Formats: sequence, C-alpha cells, structure tokens
Amino acid sequence: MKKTVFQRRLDRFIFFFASACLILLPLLLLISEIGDEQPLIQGEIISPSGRTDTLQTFPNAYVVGPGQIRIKESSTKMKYLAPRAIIDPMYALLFFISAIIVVVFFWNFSYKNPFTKKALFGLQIGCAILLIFFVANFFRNQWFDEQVRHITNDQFIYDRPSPLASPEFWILLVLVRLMMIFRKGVRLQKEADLTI
Amino acid sequence: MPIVVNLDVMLAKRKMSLTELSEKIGISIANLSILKSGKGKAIRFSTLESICKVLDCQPGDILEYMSTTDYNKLMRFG
Repeated sequence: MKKTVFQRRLDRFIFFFASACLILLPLLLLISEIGDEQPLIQGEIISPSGRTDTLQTFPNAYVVGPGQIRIKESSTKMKYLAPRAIIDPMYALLFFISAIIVVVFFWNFSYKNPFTKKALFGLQIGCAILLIFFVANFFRNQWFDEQVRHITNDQFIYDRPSPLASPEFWILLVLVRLMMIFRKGVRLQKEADLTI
Repeated sequence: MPIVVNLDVMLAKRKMSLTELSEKIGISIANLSILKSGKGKAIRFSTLESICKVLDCQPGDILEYMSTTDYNKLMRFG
C-alpha cells in the first residue's frame, strides 16, 4: 500500500522526535550527574574481609550503602569517569554517539532496500566505537578499583564486572555479525544491480 | 573476469546502433553500456535470448572466453 504524503511526514516526524530524545536525554542526565558536587558512585563496592556494615566514613569518601560510595571532593577525572548511580557518563556518551550514528547513517534506511553502502559504513563505525568503548571500559574499571582501594585504605574494593558479561560485549558481537551480513548483502546487491 | 563481451563487434557487423538495439529488446542504454563495456557481473538468459534474436547470432558470438594472460593484455592495451 502506498503511503500518503501525510503518513510519510508523520513517519519522518516520529523518527526525528525519537532521535532528538535519544540525543538530548543522555546529554541532560550527563550534565546533571557531572554537576553533582559530591557524586554518588554506584558500583560493586565490596569489602574483601567480608564486612557487611555500611555507612563508613573515610577522609575522602563515605560508604553509604551496599555497593555505593559518595566521594567528598572528586577530581575532574573521577567526575567524568567513575561509574554512577543514575547514569554512567561513559555509557551516556556511548548512547549519545550511537544516537548520532543512527540519525546520520540510517535516516533514509529502507526495509525494501536495506543493503546500502551508507548503512554498512554506519555499522562499521558503530562496531569500531563499541570496540573502543569496550577496551576503555575495561581500563576504566581497573582504574576505579585502584581509586576505591586508595580512598578506603584498602578496606573496600571495586568488584569489577567481567568484561564478557557486559552488555556492550554482546551488542558488539551482534553488530559484528550484522556487519558481516550487510557486507555480503551490499556485495550481492551490487551484483544484482550489474546483472543485465 | 576473462569473459569478453563482443557486443560492439556484433553491432558493427549488423550495422546497428546501441540505441536501436536498446529499443528493440527493451533494455535501457545505460544497462547495455554496462554490458558492452564489460563492467557487468552477469547476464540473464532472457537478455541473451533477446540480443541473439535481434542480432541473429549465437551466444558464443557475443560472449568469448579468454585466458587470464590474454585478458590482462587486452585490458592493458585496450
């Protein structure tokens, strides 16, 4: 069934509105999180000695609840890189970049003719960014563990999540598979276009 | 790919232009140019049938296999 001009405009508007929300929402949350003077940092903060009591005070931080730490005077690096309770700045940045990639490369995406070079390029960029994020997140977690140990005088550690259990790892695998499918699709589409 | 399309040779033999062929077989000039220049990846049997019918020739008159060395030489020196 052929779509009317109104339906096409409505589709465009919905896509534009959703994209704007996807871009603006993490940005606003990121600004609110970074603006916090004493950020609440959420992570698997655990005691290696098995202490279960919470609400402990250290010169530079409080352990305020199970797995949570509030930094008194956080450095810029800590503000931007530490995992947060509401939204992680690094994840927000990834979300923001992903939304831009979706808008730029999949604006004219058509289900009737999905295998285009533009879509393939978008997927390749997405994979590269996710891979960079995956590696950066691994080192970030390592750094944060060192920070928690230092702040709490080795009484607490950051129980680093396994990189293989992280959602970005599985999303990366899906994207790589999708990229392979698209690469083959683009090649077949080119062959079909050059079949006389 | 060492398959050479001799469409231009056949057109010259039949004293027919590409436009005329295009009109007779119902394939656009752009697509026939792709075929003639050797940029095409494949040819449908239906297209081959139409071309052979109009030009009164065999598929072998239009398509020719060449060894890779000869093909590369042809590509290099035109």
